[in-house]
Amino acid sequence: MSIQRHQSASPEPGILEVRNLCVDFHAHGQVCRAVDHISLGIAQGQVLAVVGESGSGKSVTGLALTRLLPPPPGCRVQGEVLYQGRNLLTCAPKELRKYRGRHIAYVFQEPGTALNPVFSIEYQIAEAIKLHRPQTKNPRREIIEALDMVGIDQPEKRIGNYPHQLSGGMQQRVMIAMALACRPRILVADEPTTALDVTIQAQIMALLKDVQEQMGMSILLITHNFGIVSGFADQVAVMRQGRIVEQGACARVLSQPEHVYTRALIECIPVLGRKAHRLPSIESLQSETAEEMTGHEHGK
Amino acid sequence: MSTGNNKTLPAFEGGPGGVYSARTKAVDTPYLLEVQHLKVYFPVHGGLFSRVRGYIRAVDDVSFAVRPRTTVGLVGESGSGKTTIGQTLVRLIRPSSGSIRYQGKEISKMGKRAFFPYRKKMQMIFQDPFNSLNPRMSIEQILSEPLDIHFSSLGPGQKRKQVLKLLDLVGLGQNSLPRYPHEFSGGQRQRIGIARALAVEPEFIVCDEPVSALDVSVQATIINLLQDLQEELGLTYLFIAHDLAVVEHVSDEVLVMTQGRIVEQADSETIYRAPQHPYTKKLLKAVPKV
Repeated sequence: MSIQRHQSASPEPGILEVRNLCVDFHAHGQVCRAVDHISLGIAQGQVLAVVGESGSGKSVTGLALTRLLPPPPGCRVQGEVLYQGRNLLTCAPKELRKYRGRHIAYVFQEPGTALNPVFSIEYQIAEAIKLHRPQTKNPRREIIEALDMVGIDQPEKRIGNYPHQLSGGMQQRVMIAMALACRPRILVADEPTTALDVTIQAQIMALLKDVQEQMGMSILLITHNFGIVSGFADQVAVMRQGRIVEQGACARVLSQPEHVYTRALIECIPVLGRKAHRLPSIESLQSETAEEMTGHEHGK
Repeated sequence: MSTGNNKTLPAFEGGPGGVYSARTKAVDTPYLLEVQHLKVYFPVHGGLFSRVRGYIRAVDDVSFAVRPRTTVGLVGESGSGKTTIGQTLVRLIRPSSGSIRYQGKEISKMGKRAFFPYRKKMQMIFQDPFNSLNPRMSIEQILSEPLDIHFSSLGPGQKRKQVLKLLDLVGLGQNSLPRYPHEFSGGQRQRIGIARALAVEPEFIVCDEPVSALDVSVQATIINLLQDLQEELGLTYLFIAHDLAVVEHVSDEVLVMTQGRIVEQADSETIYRAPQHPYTKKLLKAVPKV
């Protein structure tokens, strides 16, 4: 573990520090360690990408940051998540509510399921604003501005729409607008483009980068695809089976991956114009049992 | 397909709407599947008595052909009509007009009974491995159902042997038989979907975004599996995806589709080296680069 901690030391003091985070799930008398002593740091205005396959514990890490995981005994979180000197894992629920949304906002994985189907998008974004910035005078105008910022055409008209009236890309934009409405300092984006087409993916990633630079926000990007990491993230942490196997500056990790697993993850992406007969796969690295366990855990 | 020529289908020199004599080519064709001027329109109902108010042109005058033992990639964004084409080929959707020839035989206007033997020859692998397997059926039931329909003469012992062979083909163990879909990961489920498609020993498989719902690492193993199976069993694929990098990797030939029309067709090298249509260029640009 000492190596990991050494690696995670970022040059500037981080806005969010994760130290020795451990997440255990208890089910059927068995314990499954989803996250195993990981340490991360996100610097102010920087993007940290957590990359790993499904079941590697990357989403659980994201959820654990603001205690969005189920309470014990089903799930036990240990370690420290330090934000402004406070440990989010132990602070009182009331204090935690102050940080959630306002300071640390989320963009969840599947916009289709994360949005509430029975409320208009205006209502859903207004909810966040009402809760976290009650002094806001004209929430409607703010919502329109937020929708405009994420590139939705004619936001005045779209504001009354329900999620089913929007395409997947638009839903994801609404999710981002909702997260940004409270001007958070940290955005946790959990697979923001996985459900989307490559063309829309490129648009959404460009949008996130744009907004991040405008607002000086920090982003924790959770993804399985190294393809979207390059040109977007400053730091990269590669996770496998609950552990961080490699961590470092994005350019370095991509050009000179040290760990075999990182290399495999990068190589298994098909590259245009380089037509190998077989794609390198990392099946051999992954034990059958691990795959089965993840299958149980996430209902996949 | 290695000619490096933008028009690899001599039969369609004129492109959609070109001169193509239907009668002369009816027999003895080098193509396994030929699609000409395929149109699929969906009626839009509205108003009192829900009259037909208009049509959505999901597939609008599409022509292409597939040679045996090759892979034709079909790429486009969601809503471009690529899944509709795939489903029309295996007759999950009826075309509005146009012709689909399989080994020179017109299949789009066949009756249900006449089409039955073709169901065995043409199979489909579906997009979402989480929704395309019946959660209440065990893997054994899922894999033996197509055998019950198309190989009804098989005895229970033979059937089981065949199911085990299928599992082995896609790299799953014998212990999977009594288990249910929820017990498997996404990649394993897609393997089951592939095994189900292979059960009836098809010649032609429509792979409808078989890897879009999977992690990149799992995606690689499934693509490898599909390519191995193609070599081993001499299969022909129509490979549908929205990611041009994936399509370019697996295909001999690529069709680029947008808004119901094919805007570019060329072999995969040419598509990458010298894209012609602005939409193809846009797709190429959208591919994430490491």
